Amino acid sequence: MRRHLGELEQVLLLALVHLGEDAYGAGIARLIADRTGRVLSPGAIYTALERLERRGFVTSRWGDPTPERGGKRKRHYRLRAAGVAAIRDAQRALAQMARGLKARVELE
Amino acid sequence: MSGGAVRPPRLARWLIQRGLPPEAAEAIAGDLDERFSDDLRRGASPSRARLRYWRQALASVAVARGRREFSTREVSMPRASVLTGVTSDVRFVLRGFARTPGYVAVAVLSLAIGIGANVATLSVTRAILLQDLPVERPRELRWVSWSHPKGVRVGNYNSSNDSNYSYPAYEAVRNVAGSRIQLLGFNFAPRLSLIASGRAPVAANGMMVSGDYFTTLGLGVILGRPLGDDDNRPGAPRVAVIGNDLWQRLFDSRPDVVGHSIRINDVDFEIVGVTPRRYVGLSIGGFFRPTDITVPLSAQPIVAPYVAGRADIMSDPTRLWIHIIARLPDAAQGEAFRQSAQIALAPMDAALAGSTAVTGATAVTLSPANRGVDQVARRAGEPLEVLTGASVLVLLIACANLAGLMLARGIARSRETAVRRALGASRATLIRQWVIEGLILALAGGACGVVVAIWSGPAIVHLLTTGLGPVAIELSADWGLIALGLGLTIATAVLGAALPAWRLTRAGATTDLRTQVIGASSPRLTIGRVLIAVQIAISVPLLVGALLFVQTLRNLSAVDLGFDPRGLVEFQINLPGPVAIPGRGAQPMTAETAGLTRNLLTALEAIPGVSSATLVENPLVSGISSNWGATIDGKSVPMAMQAVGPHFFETMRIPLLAGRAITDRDIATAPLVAVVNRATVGRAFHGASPIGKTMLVGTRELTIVGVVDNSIYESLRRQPQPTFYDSYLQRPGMTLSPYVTLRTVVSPATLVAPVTAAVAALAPTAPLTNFKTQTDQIAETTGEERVFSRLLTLFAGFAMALAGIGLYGLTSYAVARRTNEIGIRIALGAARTQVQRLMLRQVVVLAALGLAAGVPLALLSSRFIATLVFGVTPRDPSTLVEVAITMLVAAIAAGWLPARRASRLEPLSALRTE
Repeated sequence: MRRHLGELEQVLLLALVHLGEDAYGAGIARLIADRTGRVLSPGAIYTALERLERRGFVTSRWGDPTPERGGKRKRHYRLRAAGVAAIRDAQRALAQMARGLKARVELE
Repeated sequence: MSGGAVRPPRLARWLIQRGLPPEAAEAIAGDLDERFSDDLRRGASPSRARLRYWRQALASVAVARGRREFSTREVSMPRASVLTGVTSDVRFVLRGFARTPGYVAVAVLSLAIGIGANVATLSVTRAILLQDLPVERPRELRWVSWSHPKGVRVGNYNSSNDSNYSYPAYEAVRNVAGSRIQLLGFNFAPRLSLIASGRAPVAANGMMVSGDYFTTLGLGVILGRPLGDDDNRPGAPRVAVIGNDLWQRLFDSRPDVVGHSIRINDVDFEIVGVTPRRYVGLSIGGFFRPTDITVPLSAQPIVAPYVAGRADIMSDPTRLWIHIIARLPDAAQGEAFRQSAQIALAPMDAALAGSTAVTGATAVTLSPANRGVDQVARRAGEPLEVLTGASVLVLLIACANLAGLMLARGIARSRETAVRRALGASRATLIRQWVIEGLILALAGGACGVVVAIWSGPAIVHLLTTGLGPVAIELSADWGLIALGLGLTIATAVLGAALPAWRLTRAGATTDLRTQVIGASSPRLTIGRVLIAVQIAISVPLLVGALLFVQTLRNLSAVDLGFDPRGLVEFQINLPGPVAIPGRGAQPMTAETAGLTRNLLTALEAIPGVSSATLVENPLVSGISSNWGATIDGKSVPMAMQAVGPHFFETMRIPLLAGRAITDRDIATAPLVAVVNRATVGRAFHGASPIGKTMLVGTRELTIVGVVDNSIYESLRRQPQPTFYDSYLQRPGMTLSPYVTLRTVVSPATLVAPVTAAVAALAPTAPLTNFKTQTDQIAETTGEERVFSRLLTLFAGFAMALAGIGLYGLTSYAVARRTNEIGIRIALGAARTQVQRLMLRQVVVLAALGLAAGVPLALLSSRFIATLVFGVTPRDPSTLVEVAITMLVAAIAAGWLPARRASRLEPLSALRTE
């Protein structure tokens, strides 16, 4: 199994870490928008999440319908151990690449 | 937006439901709804929230579908049913088309022209060459021909068909047939004058038939009764069966028309029946027009008095005026009948032989009569061959073009193909998709082609039969035609698509996956080159044909007519009066008719703008001439003859070289005179003056009174022949339907009314038809050449344009493929012109190869047009050289732009590619 993660995939996995059990499409989109200013369409989110699910990084389940969703059910996503490992590896790799560059690209 | 609940856009939500799998749709729609209410809560305006909803819905659908297109076809549903695969292929292909409209347009247009031209030509060919008469079981009908032993003088009334019988001979054959074999006798009676009460006179084409005509052909009537045996008995009432067209024109399709009377050549006939719309008699057109009205053989003294001899026509064995057709379904029965008829006819030859010794024996032969008197096929056959050949070539070019286009498209998509191969698509899947692409293009082209064919079919028939008068050729868009179009379409698709599909899916997938752009590792496209060379080769005969016909037209319009066609107007008229008297044979024009004719010409000359008026037997340059062997000084000289009225040479502006012209005093009671042309003087008189000499024409002795200059008679293509002009007013046995020619200084259109009035005043029963100008008449006879030059020019231009597009594409591809190499060359100091030459070399080589194959093809096909061109040989070397130069120039022009682009490459950027 390929361990490499794309940028969007990393963002999504990190959002799942933030949200824990409560993660679902709209919540994820809101979190990403709040933290990065980036607006993702549900289609893009679910497509990427489905891919992550096929790769065994996340699991999903159907939630309950709510009135504000027009009676539609939520699709909840949760990190699996493999996903945690993958995001950790990816972050580590990124940090390794960024080490010593603080002054030049103003990383925090 | 005021108060109340603001709802998310319903259409966008519907789009999500339709465009996505149900589970994804639910999750996504729910999210969007939630975000929508979020936005509103945060104070966004409803329209802004709605806009965001829309944008995200569209983005979601696009993302999700894009992924599906990429991954699901071969990966997640490899075991999908064949049909699912095909429908998704079709959708995939259509999406591809939407992205490349230019490619689709070129492909469909070329296929439409190729398929359309073929369907049209084939349907016309079928109609003209293969269509049977609209009668019952036409294939059972046989001409019964009677060829006479050597020495028998056959006094045929018309020589277009040798199977003429006298009435006694017809009866003998009929007796042999007895009641077992159905058999009919007939002859045509062209240009009858018809008058229905209260209507202007009309001219119509008649046929006189034996009593068993309708039963033998298995034809019914839609009203009344057909003709029968009783109608041919002596003393029977005069009856006629009219055609559907006359019924409509003269009787407004009245259901009670049966029992009404109609005047035929000034004699009353009772209408007993109406034939169906499809009825054409025994000729679909040509010299013998489709039949408008059918009368019994017994009506001959009224409808065809000119066929009568000096004795009673019903007993005179020397007047041959009846054709026989028998229905013989069984070959053995036919043979028995043929032998009996031969025996029965043997004694008839003795009566025909006269004083000449008879050698050989009577022979009766049977031949298929399923097409009746078939003159259209003979006339149209050769042009049809040319059209068929040209359209097959165009279709081949369209196929080659389609293959080339698809190949190019395949190269452009080789990366995609490689990816799909790598993802597990089988080769068969890919080939299937290519073939489907070809099929869709071909179906679109085929559909357009059938439209083209339906639209152009009647036009082609019209063009091929100009000068033949009305023809009854039915072009039907029936299943046969559609099947034909479909067959051609599928063949085209398979030819055009299979080859590139095979070629493209064979390429190693991994190699192509690595190359992002076209470069040195891309294939050299040998098939593409071959296809271009083939297109060039096929264009050559088309271009040669086009040039030959353009030259033919130019040569025909440069022919010295010998008369002045400008300002001439002509029309045909049926003069009243008997031309033959039963028992006394053909008569010269009576003094009464001659007087009427003279008055008519005088009245016409009195119309303002008309400077002179005359009569003529056959209009000039109409494809028709009369020919007769004249005896001069005891020697037989084949001559053309033309009966003319007074002022003929003056009206036509044919110079009178010696003696006098034909005048209005040359009537039946005056000495018989003739004027000969210059060609006759050279041929029969060795340059000596012929004036005062006599010539024997049949039994008439004419005295030559004048000599005129040569002029074109029958056709532009025929040099003036030895010709004599005799006086219309003294020629016996004329049909009395001469053409009147007027020389005028005013517009012909303004003459119609006064001319009609002048004719109506003097001869109220005489129908007037075929009003046209002499220049139109000549233009009509060159219609075929004009059509060919235009059509072939169009085809050739089209073929060259396609070949040019192909060459342009191929050179562009070669430039892209060799960018790196070119960069190195330029960096190493190659001059721009050298680079251009390098790129153009392949263009020139391809054009040369195409020409090398095309020139023999053109020479081979030249025999099809050998008899159609004029003033130029079909293998004209200068034309071939012109074509070769044109092709080369066009090829170089097509390759020039990409070659120039190659020579302007920046060496550095060129080297950086790859």
